Amino acid sequence: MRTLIIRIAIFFVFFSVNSQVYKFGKVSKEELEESYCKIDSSIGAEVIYKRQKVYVDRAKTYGFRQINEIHERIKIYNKNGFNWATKKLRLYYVTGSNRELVQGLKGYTYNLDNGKIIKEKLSKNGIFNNTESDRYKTKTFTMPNVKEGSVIEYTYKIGSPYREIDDVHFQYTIPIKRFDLEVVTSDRYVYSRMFNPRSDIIPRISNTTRNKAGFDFNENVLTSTVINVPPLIEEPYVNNIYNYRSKLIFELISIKSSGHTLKNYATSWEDVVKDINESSYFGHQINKIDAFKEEVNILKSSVSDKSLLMKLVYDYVRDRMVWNGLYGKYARNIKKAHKEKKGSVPEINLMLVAMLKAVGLKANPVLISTKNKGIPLIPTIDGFNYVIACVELNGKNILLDASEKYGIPGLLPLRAINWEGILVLKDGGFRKINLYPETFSQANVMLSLVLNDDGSIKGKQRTHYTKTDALRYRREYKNYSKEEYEEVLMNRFSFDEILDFDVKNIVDLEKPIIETVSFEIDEGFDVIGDNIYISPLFFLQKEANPFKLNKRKYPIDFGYPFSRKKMINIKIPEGYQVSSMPESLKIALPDNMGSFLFNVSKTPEGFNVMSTFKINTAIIPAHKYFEIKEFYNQRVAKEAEKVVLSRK
Amino acid sequence: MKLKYLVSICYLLTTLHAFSQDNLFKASTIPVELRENASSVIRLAETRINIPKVDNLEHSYRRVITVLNENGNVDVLANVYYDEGISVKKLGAIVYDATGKVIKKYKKSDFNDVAAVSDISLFEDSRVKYIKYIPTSYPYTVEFYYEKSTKNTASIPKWHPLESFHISTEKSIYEITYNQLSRLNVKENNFNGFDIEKNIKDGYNIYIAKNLKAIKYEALKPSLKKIIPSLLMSLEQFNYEGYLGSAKSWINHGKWMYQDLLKNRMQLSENTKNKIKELVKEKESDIEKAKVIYNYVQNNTRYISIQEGVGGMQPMLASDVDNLKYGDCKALTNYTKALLDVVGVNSYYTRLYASPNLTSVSRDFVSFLGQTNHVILNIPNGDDNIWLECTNQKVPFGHIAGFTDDRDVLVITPEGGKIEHTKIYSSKENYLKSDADITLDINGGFKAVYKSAAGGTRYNAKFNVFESDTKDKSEHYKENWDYLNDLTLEKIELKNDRDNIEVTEHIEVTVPKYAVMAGEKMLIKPNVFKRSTYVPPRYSERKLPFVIQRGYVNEDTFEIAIPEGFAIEALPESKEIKTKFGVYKMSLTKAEETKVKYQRYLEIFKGDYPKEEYSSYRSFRRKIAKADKSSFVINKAN
Repeated sequence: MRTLIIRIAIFFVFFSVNSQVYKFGKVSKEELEESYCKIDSSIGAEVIYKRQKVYVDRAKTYGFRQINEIHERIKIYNKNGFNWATKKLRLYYVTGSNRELVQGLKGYTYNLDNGKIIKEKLSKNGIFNNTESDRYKTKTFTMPNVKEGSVIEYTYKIGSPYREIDDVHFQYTIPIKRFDLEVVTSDRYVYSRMFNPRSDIIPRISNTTRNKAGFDFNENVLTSTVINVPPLIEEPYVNNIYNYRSKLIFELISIKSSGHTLKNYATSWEDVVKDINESSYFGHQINKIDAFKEEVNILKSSVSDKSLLMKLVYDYVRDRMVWNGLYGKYARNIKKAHKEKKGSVPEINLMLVAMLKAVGLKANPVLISTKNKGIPLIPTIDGFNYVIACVELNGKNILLDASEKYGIPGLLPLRAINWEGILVLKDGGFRKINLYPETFSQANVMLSLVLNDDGSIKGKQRTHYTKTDALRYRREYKNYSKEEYEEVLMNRFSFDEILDFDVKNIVDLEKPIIETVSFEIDEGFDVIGDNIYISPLFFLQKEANPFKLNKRKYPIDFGYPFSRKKMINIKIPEGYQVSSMPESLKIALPDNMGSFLFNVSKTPEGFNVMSTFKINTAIIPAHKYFEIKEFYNQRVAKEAEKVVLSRK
Repeated sequence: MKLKYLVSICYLLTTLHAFSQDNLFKASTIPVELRENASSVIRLAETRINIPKVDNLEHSYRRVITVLNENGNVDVLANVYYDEGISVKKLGAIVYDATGKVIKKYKKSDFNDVAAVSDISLFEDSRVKYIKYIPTSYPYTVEFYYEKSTKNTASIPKWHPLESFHISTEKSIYEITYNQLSRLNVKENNFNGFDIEKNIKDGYNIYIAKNLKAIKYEALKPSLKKIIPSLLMSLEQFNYEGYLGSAKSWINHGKWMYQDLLKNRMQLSENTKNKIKELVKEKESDIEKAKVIYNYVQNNTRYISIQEGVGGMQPMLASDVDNLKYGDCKALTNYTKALLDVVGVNSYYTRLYASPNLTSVSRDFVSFLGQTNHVILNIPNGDDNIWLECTNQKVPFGHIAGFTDDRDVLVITPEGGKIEHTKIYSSKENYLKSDADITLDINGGFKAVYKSAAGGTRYNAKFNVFESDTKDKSEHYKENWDYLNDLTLEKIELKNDRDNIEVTEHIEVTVPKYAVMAGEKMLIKPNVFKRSTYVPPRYSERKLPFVIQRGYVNEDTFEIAIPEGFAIEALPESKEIKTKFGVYKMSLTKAEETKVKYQRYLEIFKGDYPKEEYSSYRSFRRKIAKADKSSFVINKAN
């Protein structure tokens, strides 16, 4: 805690220097002479100064428009920084006054030539307009005369008819030396705001209110100045690095006029739930069952057990509907989707909720934000981009996603598993609901091997996959024919021959996948001198620790809890005996986060190996990183130890 | 003319006669042999080209494809590309279910229309109209058609009756009618072994391919271009964005390009000229001058991508590049050439197909469009041509390994075009040599000093590490030596010798646990740093020949000192494997009482090999992978 306070203090010491130092068009010789970044000498570019002003202006043509004014000055240190000399602005573009427009784009590149500052203007031929689709245009500009050492500077305004304020980014993938922010809003527009709590950089802001001369409303002025913001740096095993960016998020809460509230936006989870329940594309959809009344009646009368009924309804929707690849939370037309047998995630899953309700089950939708979207930080409808169904049965909540062809009740595809969702109740109530599976997915291997004295191995492997592991298996398997999958296995395990291969329950989704394979390996173990050295897990050995870095900032996301159990029976060649074998090991992570067990024991014909590796918690916080890394280290080291056979 | 047209229609009527339209949309009528290895089947593809005038090309296209399973969805390709010079007149699609019943129709206005801009590009004026149909069951059939026309006749649509891997073709027709005053260059590739009929007359050609079986994708396969039949055509005289171009021969074609597209793009200001002359005034030879100028370009420009109209083929003015200091491959190459001209060094603008795959421009089919995607600069130098990549600000002078090497390219001189072959890097030139001193401790860990030098294609990989903008390069080595658990990098020093085009590494590492304990013994894999794990995938029946595009050499010597109190118990036997694909040698010898010396040599030869030899190549790589993991044993000396 103490270090955190100190860090924040370092970042956010306020400077008395006013921003006049960074007047547009006036770049200093010192800035141009700087030859490397003080924070990290290998960095390609650095934002020397950024100023952002958001305010409302009255324009002649379009009336009141919200202006987002940007001024950025960037130092290019070396060639890796050249891509910062090109900037792409994405503009929402419909027609007429509903479009966003760029105004006043100006830019200069500054270079030193024999101690003299040379200034080059961004000209028309460096600006490119593209129509991306019927909704978006882009304006891209690239600065002239950019070399190592150049300073570039540009300013522009984006005028928008909308009053939503985009997230203000305090952090880039390069350092920012100083950032001045000013957001001026009318008090008729009420915004809530929040910093990204997943970032450890929380800028300080100040607020004042002033009267807008000549108008009957006040203005709220938010300002903030930050200095020396470190860059955002990618780490492996992080889903989406921008989830951790320092930013200020605005959400429009309500619009007032002369004391009356014209329009209210969500400010609490209650509001969010109320809004969405009243939406004709959400709440109303789950009460419409005309389109499939007949099916509902048939399903309802075919079974009385509630759990079976849930499964029947779920199977019906899953098997009928094809997912079109789109996410979302609003369903435009469930009836049409039902007729065409295809639709988006909300069309499929709200249909599922509607049918589950219609057959008399206690079903409700759950709002989710997927991994690539990030977690909603404030009560907001916009933060969600996915919806699933939840059935309450015997006091338990069962989650269902019928957009997944290999799903079953209680099993979600990985795309839908991201922390927690919001269970939307009919009466306007809500509940946060954990999306991570509470029980393990298992991949259990039973392997029996016969070792021959010519170095070859004959073996039979039987693997069970359950839950998420089974789902993943089915998804992979469907890309291949059976013959092709044999080739996949051969390459994966370095088999020389597959004598027999079979997979059970590919279609029977409720049951675990059972894969059996009989195989031969030509050269399966080392004979050195008079001894045979064997890796007891053979081709199932984990040779490398995936956690290699010395430190970690962000949580480790395993996706779901899992268990990997291996039982191996090895028959050794005649004339040999086990002369040494690894000692047993049993280790566990703190807080029951995971465990590893490894045991080798002699048998009359050779030896047995038993190994169980479990991760019990899908998400492990970053401060446990060293424990995880060391846990994997010990596992890898143990699995590398050899069994030694010697001649009798 | 009229008569000929009539003939063509008659001919078509007879060919189409046997083909009932109904059967076309029914999945059940697909012959069994066309389902083998296929995710989708092209039932009928018709391309009809009409070029009545040198500045008018009409293109009508119709294609019926039956998709058999999910993997075939990407083959539907119901899209049409266009730009300002191309007008799409007719466009539509119809989707049928397995029984041939219509389930959906798309009109022109139902198509999405978006910019076809790649991420790296600032601007491209190319656009695409497309539909995306989500099937609810398989098989299903999509009929797609369009008509478009353009004034540009420089590029005539190609014909690929077999489109890609895992797609078979029942029937494909290509017909071209052209003004018989023009001459047509025609290049047929790989027609042998396929059922392709043709009928050629003055001003009219027709090709019909039938029952082409799907080809399965296999690792190390030759490029598709070398396997599947294709038909390339160009007019000897064509219109390109208002220029009247010629493609009689490469000489002729190149001359036109030089005259119309390049010649007037190279002017520079007197100021710049003087500056450049000043820069090279100390230098004697052309090569030395060229090096100075190349260096100047690298330090004063950057690469951006713009694709637009004639700009798609014509470079930006050299004077604009001089002012703005950026450009695409055409602009930067042209600029470099303009600068070299100022100091009297001869150089030629060169078009080619850049790719890690070795893709050549055809020697006997004249047309740069569709055969090239990149521009580099050629400096003639006797038998040892120099090739300059002008879009990269860091690559050393003349280094082209990996992206533009070893292929036929079009060199454009004022006298005309000519086909030349770019530099071939021999396996010995693609080297990675390393030495290491490794000291084991009694806990099975080690300390090591590792030094290496890399050239040719091997240079590229190390160069990327050298140039990467992450301060902490240890991550790269941790990934590279992923099996060295808990690796600590004590020192990383890379040097990039741009003159000799070699990156050297000096690396010091420690690993707390490396040797494997087995009772009183320790097992040690002497190949600490250079394990080859690559084994090409196994196929029960290899169908395609295979290619090793580039050879290379690895040469390694590691000296390993064993811990005090231990004695060497057993060393693995030396190995030497010589095959037509390469050579592998490995030996482990006792250098001193407590020291072993590990030597390894691996050379892979570039080459094209028949499918019958695939399994022996695979076996060669397996033996290497296995030998690279072999261990020696030490034990506690009593």
